[in-house]
Amino acid sequence: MTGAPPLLQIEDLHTWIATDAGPVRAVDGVSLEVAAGEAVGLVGESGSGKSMLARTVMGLLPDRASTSGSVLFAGVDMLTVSEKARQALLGPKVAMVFQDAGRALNPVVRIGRQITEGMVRHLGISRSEAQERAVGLLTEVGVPDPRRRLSNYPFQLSGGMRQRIMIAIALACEPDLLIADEPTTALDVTVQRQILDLLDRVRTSRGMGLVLISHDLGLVAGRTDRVAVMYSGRMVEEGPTDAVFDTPRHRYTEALLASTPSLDTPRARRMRVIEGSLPDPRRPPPGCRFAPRCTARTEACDESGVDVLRDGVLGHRHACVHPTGTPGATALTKAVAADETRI
Amino acid sequence: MLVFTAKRVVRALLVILFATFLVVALLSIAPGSLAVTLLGDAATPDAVAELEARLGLDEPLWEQYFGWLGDAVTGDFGTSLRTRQDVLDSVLERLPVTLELALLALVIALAVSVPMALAAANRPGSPIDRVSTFLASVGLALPAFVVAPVLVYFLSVQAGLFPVAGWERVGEGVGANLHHALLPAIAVAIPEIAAFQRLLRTDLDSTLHEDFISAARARGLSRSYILWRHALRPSSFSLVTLAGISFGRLIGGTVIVEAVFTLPGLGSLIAGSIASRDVIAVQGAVAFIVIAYVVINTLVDIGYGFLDPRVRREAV
Amino acid sequence: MSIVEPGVAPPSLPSAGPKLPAPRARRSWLVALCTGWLALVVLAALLAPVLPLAEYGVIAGPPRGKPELSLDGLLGYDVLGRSMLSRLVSGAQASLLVGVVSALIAFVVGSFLGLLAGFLRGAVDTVISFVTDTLLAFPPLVMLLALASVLRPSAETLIVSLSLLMTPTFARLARANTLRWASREFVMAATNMGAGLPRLMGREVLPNVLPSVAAYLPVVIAALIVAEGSLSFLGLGIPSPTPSWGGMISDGQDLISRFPNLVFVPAVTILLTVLALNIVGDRLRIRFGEGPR
Repeated sequence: MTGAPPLLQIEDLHTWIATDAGPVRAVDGVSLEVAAGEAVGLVGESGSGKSMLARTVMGLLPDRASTSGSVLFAGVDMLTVSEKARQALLGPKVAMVFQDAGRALNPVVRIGRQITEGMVRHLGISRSEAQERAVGLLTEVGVPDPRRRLSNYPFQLSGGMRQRIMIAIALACEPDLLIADEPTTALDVTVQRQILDLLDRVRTSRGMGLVLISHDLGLVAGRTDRVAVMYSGRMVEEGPTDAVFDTPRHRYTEALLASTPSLDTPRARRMRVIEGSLPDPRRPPPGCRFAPRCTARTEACDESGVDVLRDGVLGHRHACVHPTGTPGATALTKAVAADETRI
Repeated sequence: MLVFTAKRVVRALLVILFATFLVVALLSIAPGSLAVTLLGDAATPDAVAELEARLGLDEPLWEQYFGWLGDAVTGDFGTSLRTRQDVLDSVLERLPVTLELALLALVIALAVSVPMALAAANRPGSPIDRVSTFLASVGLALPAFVVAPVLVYFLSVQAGLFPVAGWERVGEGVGANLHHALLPAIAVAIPEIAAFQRLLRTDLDSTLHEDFISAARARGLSRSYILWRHALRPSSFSLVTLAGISFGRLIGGTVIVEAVFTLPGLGSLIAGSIASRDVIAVQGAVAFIVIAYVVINTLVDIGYGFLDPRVRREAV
Repeated sequence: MSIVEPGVAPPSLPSAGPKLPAPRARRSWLVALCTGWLALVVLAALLAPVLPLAEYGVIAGPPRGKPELSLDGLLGYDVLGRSMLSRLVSGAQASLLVGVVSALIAFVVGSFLGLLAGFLRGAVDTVISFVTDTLLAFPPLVMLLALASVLRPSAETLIVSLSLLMTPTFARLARANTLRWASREFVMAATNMGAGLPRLMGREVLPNVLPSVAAYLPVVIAALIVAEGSLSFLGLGIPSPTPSWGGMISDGQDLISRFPNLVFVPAVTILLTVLALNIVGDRLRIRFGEGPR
């Protein structure tokens, strides 16, 4: 994993959105790398900035957003590249699967055109050739009777079918990287696994990179090489998926794991809820942003600049002042937890 | 969908019945005796009574209405007091002029407002957006009686591009016909352009915030392709409705322009009939226009369903 | 693959973040400008009797005289030599009086009907909605023309016609807003606490519905000024010799090729007034016209 430059290299990315009440720091100094063919999970609560990160990479930010840092994709900085050059990359190089296919498919445009228009534009093939390829794609993503589906409108299909079609659209121009933003949140539980397995299958068969965004840690557990955890616009922990799951270091990751009911969770933990809510993204706490909700909080947590990623074993990095697994901190956790019952 | 259509049709019929009743009743409920108004204060009581009997004003209101309705169903909208001509005949004779004016104005309004709205919505807050939006505000403040004389001054008198007034039938050559019809149509179109631009601009704005637009952009499609091929159609449903309603409204709403350019249309028929106190002609023409307006609006209402594939499915 | 990844840069302090675009200008100067113009027109109309201007019917200068540096001649003289400025001010009186009074009548009557329909539902709603729909089935100008054919033109009959024209619009607005408010928790709470109907309507719903509906007043006044102008242009509005803006355009129309200012002066006045009302009205509608979210 050394030597070759990563496929996607995000460096100190800030994405701020101007509002009347001051800038919302949706993404606030995040770095992340994705190697070719690698699957990376990006996890966090809604509002943690993970979707905004994906939108920044794709250049889909609202007009009032501003960015700094760099997002290098195949050597091109997506933040400063011209609109035309970015359009040339979107589709054949990087593609995105949206959360709710019911809303991400144009309701008044037939499925066929929505799959083929990108191919016609990027691959320079004819409409009929694109049509043939679309049939193949639909077969690949498991849509039955593909030829007929092409002339359907999205509302004529089930949610699971629509998400398969979203994936087919994303795969149409054979991208090197696929960003899947909560691809199963809008689906029935029974369909969720099918879609995830489908993503897994096309990724391995095509050797594609994948960024799998989810609020559900369990969902990315078995399906990614590495996982990154975001909280309130900051990266709090990042490392090999197994390491992060087995020995979470950041207090937030630990709490998140404990509060996720999932069969995939490696160790049986008691269900726990994280008290409080995300900080105001316009006025985040000066130090660690999780501190106000953290049971291990000390004064040191409130110093600005403490929440930077620290190196660890096997590239397992975290931004916690009092990482779990530190004996002193555990005692402190208990003390604070005991104290909390009196407040 | 069938139930929906049937409901609309029944409602339209009821509205037409009540509206035409109001039209007929208008002659009776007008303050003072209509006959006196018509004949002047110096009229003899005999003449007044004779006219009232001829107009049926001495009958009870409901009898007047059913009498009128019975005639109207057979195509008899009455006979003009002044010209002794059948009212429906004179309406139909003048209808083509007004229809052409309304259609032409509609085409101009759509052809101008759609690109204006697309350009504005493409980059919200940009100079193009501001100019386009401001022009629309100005257009809304330019009613026909303000803009028509000004257009005549600049384009006909100063530039000599168009005739100052008059009409040529299509039969006498399409070129000559358009030469006379274009300037009046532009005058009619200007406030419509403004209304269309504002509506489409607003609808485009909300469409462009939809996920499927982001998804289209994520496919690397160009801005103009997305605007025309992805955003326009889902944004245009209310515009199509408005255009339909405008068309209905313009049949009879072109009175001013017809007066400025002395065009032989439906509007000038009404204006002329009012001037000569020909209440029967006014009544017939107004009833005709109201019926046409309700019919067009109902068709637009039903047709709206067929525009949107989501609604269309429920029809099948 | 190495066990410990070497050479990772030491943690650095988070950087300052991007420069954000300046907040969008609110264009309040435009609204201020429009408000200023409207204030000027209203003031001119109110002060018309005491302004040091010639009477609108009095011949004060040469027929079709060019604008000159005197108060009466500032905008020139009309076909007969009457002061254009004086006629414009008197026209403002007529246009505003007719527009504002009709709009207010329509507002009061329409809001009341809409409130009743939206609150009582049932048969009352059916009847009011049906009458409303029927009146809206008349193209506006056609309805005005139909009324004009049987009414003797005067300021009073104009007000009757114009308020009849706009009442259905207000009734619809008020009904829609009432429906939205009546289903809100606090109204239901008041109902459960046994508040009577008049109290419910007067104290709970009305104060919430009225601002949303009233926000449409400027736009409606603008529409009515246009409607009055259209009728006056056709000679069916305020009868001469009382000046009106539409009538002035009509009078000057035949001479436009040689004396365009006879048309341009009233045309620009109408344009500015209607534009200003629309811009102010849009701002009001955005702020108050949306009702509960």
